[in-house]
Amino acid sequence: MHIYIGKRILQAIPVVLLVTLITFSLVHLMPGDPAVIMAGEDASRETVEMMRRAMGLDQPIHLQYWDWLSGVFTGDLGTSLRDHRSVLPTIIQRLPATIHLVIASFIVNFVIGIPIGIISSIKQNTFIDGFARIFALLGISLPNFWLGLMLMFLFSHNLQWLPASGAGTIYHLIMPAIALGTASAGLITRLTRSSMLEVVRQDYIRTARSKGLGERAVIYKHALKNAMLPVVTIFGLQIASGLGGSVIVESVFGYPGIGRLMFNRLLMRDFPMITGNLLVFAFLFILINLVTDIFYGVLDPRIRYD
Amino acid sequence: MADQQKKSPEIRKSKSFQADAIRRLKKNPMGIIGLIIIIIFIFLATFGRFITPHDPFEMNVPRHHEEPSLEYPLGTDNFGRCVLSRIIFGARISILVGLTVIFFRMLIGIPVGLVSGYYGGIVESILMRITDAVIAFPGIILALAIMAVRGQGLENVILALSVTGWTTYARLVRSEVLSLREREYVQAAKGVGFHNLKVMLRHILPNCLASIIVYSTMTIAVVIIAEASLSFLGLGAAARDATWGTQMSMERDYLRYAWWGVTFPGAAIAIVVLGFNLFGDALRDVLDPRLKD
Amino acid sequence: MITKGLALLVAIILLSPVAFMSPDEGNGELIIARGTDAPSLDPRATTAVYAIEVCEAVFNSLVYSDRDTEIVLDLAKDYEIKDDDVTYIFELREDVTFHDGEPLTAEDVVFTYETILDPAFGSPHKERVDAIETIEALDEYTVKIKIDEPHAAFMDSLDVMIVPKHAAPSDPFADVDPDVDEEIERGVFAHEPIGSGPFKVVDWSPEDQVVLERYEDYHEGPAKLERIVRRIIPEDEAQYADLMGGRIHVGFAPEQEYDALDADPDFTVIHSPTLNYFPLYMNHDYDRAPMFEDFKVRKAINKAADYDAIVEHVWETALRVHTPIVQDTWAYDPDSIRVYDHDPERARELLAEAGYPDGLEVEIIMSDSTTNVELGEMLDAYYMQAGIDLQVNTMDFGTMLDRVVEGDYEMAHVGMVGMTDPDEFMQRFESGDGAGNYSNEELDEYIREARRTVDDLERRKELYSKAQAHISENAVDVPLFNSVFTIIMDSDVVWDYHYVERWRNIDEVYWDN
Repeated sequence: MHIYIGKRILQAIPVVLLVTLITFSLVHLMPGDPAVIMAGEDASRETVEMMRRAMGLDQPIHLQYWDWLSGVFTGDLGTSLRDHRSVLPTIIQRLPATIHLVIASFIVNFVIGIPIGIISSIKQNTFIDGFARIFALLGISLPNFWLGLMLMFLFSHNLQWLPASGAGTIYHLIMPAIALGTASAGLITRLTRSSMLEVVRQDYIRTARSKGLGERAVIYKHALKNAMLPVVTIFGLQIASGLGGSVIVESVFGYPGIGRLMFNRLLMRDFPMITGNLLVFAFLFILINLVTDIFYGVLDPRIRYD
Repeated sequence: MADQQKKSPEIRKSKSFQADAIRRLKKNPMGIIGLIIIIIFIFLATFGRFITPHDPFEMNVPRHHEEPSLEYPLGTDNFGRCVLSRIIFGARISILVGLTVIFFRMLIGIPVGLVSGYYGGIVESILMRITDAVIAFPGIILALAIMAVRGQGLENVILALSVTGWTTYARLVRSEVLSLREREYVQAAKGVGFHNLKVMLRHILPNCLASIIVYSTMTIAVVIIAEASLSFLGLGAAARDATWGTQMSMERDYLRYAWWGVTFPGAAIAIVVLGFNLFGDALRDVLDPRLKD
Repeated sequence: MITKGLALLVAIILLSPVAFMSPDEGNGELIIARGTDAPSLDPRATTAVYAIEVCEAVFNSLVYSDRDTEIVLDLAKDYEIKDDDVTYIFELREDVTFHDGEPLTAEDVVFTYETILDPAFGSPHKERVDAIETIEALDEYTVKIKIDEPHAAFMDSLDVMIVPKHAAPSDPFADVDPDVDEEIERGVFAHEPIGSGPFKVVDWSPEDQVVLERYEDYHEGPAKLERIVRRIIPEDEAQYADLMGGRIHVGFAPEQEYDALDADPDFTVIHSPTLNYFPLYMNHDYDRAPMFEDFKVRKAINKAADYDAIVEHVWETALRVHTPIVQDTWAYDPDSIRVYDHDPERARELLAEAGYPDGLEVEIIMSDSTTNVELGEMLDAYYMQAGIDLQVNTMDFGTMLDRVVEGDYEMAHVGMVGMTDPDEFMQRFESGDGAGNYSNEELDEYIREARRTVDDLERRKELYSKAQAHISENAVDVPLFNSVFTIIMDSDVVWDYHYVERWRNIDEVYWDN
């Protein structure tokens, strides 16, 4: 077990390094001179030169990467070109809002997805099943920005029940969470359904049935537990897609998380902030994946720890 | 294609499998609906410009935001252009983006998967760690970053979406290869002294096709949504490309005032995505032996 | 297991600092929405209107131009222009204190202008005050400014906001330059500025909100509002929905809603005139855009589209103009202007004569606002009929501005803002100064002579008529419109809003209910 965990962590190290390399090269391919952006619209050539030196841009590229990388591992992600704020504190300040949003969308996913999936599998090939499958597919098929606009139109504009922008109360979370979570809810419904159907056909369920256990007990005690394994594996993927979707949903709802920060700074070509955000997104993903993998290893004894 | 005439053992076996598949597809009404949607969509994309009721680009500003009528079945947009004609025109671009992106993703992902699965060892480790690193970035964010590097435009959308999504192909193919590598006929082919490339292309790849096809069908839908999202955020296709995403993005400020301008392109996306998903589902039921009754 | 997991997730959400209450809507608080945030709140470091309007609540300037383009005293209680026309003496108010309690003195004024004039500081305001040769404090409350030559519009550029010498950095890059003395607080001033205005900044979370609180010791008495929250809501639809729901009190609405809002007793719609001029620039740096060297091409561009129709459709409330000088200001001279009418056939002929028989390819850059995207669509459609293949490239405002300032474009659409005196309008066409890179000795002479003409308004007017004639005769740009700035308020908010003064009178705003 410990060997398995150790191995997963070791595997993550080269990935982390590659992630920093991809981030660094991507941002360095962007057009625009960071020194000019930092110095401002009307800065003189001397100022720009001074900036360039101060920012280490006159160094060869591999040295710049090394400088930046050693900064990354000491928690120094540089300073924003646009507002001169430190990158990491700015991101950390906004991170909780995004985590709230992703967790809330997660609740939407599972509260909607799992029960519908279960019901759909129990009532396989009935009207209810068909309805559930259509629901799941619609959830996947609706672009989240579109869903967000529609929700806003209905609940903020027409009914005036919910705030259309901002953060701070639970009401602010409802619409963005639904917009962000619906696609995943559709996926989870489908996954739960197919996984249930597969499990129900397994021998041990037949055995349980033949022992005379009630249908309800069979489903809840035996089938459900085993059917949840594949659902757990996509936890990490769902969180990642939630983080990705946050860029869109946070922009639609004016929600002050890191998704919107990322998007704004991307438009402004605020390079340090972009690299910082990309890194935080990627590190979060690697971390979540590591945790789910280990979690999965604990849950499923069939995993080999070689 | 030449391979198929020579008939490797797996392919020969598949004749009855094909018949079986078609029979089972027929029994799946959802899949049929999906297929019909896809066929209509492809028809519109191919012949759209001959059947649009109006020129999708011709402006008639005094008649902007007219409600759906006989003349303009889905109303007019902010410039008095026919919404229906623009949706029909947009189908072409959506399918173009969808297919091209899938093609490029396969072009990167399949070789990576094949090579790492087939050779294993250090090659596999390196390729898979690269794959892990690319996966670590949420796709849409990496795509946005690339769009910010390259600027608006259809080619850039295709590029941005291609370099982000190939990882699933790599993993899919790799896991198939791993399960095939030790099979007798592969070992036999290797034993006879076939070149590695030949073994991979002739004996391994055809057996991955089923999952590749199923996955691709579903992914076209994802790509269409991703294109729409990029365009909606203003970092996608240019306005003159008239994709469904740009159409929605340009009309969204008029939602309360002229709901048809943004609703119909949105509905077009949802329907086509639904079509590909339904069909993909059915295909999986048909092609994936694990779900056979 | 699942229910437990869910319960845990719910618990996390509940325990996190997310409250259930909606924000306090006491009458002392005003919530104002905007689409874009300020890059900095150091008034020396930015000209962005999103920053300047907040600075207007936090800082004061010597003088400023009001809605009638008259000079109003702010920190100065009196001023005198000496007979040489280049020496200005300002007497400062003696009762002004900064938010930290320190008095505002002549030293602060001198410091502010010196840092702006310092090329190393890189202030975007530098160009406007470059005429200053020396600035000195004669005593604690007297400032003497000497300029290089008589300048008829010099007072208009003295609306620069004054920062405290004891708190503001003299090097805006202190935070990134490792060589800078550690003792200077690094980059904090731009985020937590200290001014002398009616409100002080208590919290700013970037791209989310700025919270301002009343400064009780404000020299004109405390403001009527207690708190101002300026929230950033990028999506128009969200802003409008929250405005309707009363969650924000001042904000924007889509143009097509103005009539309904006007009729709604709960809202006040203010259409404020502006002095902003929005043309299509043609780049006169002929190395970058060789086609525009030929007058025929510029004329063709002016005739290629029905600009009346475009302006009417895209900017419903804006005023269509044909000259940079805004209608109804004193130098405006409609009789001197040549107006080009829409004639795609003629445009094609002109292009053919200029050596483009197969049409012309041009790129236009502009920011990615909704209206600009619409402008691009319409231009594209019109230009196509005139044989011009227009590549529309929309981008982030800052990126676009960088390119325009660098002269890296063929055509561009961007507003000329922040101008009050006709000299400021015309300066943008002077050699080496304008974003259009236009350079013509004859025009320069009109502009410069008018600037030197301090006492003879008739003569200045005459010169500006000649300048306007020159610009339109030579089709230097494509004039489009003079914008009208519309904002929507809760009808209980009493705010005599005018775009030219913006937040200058925010201390007088109050709730009436």
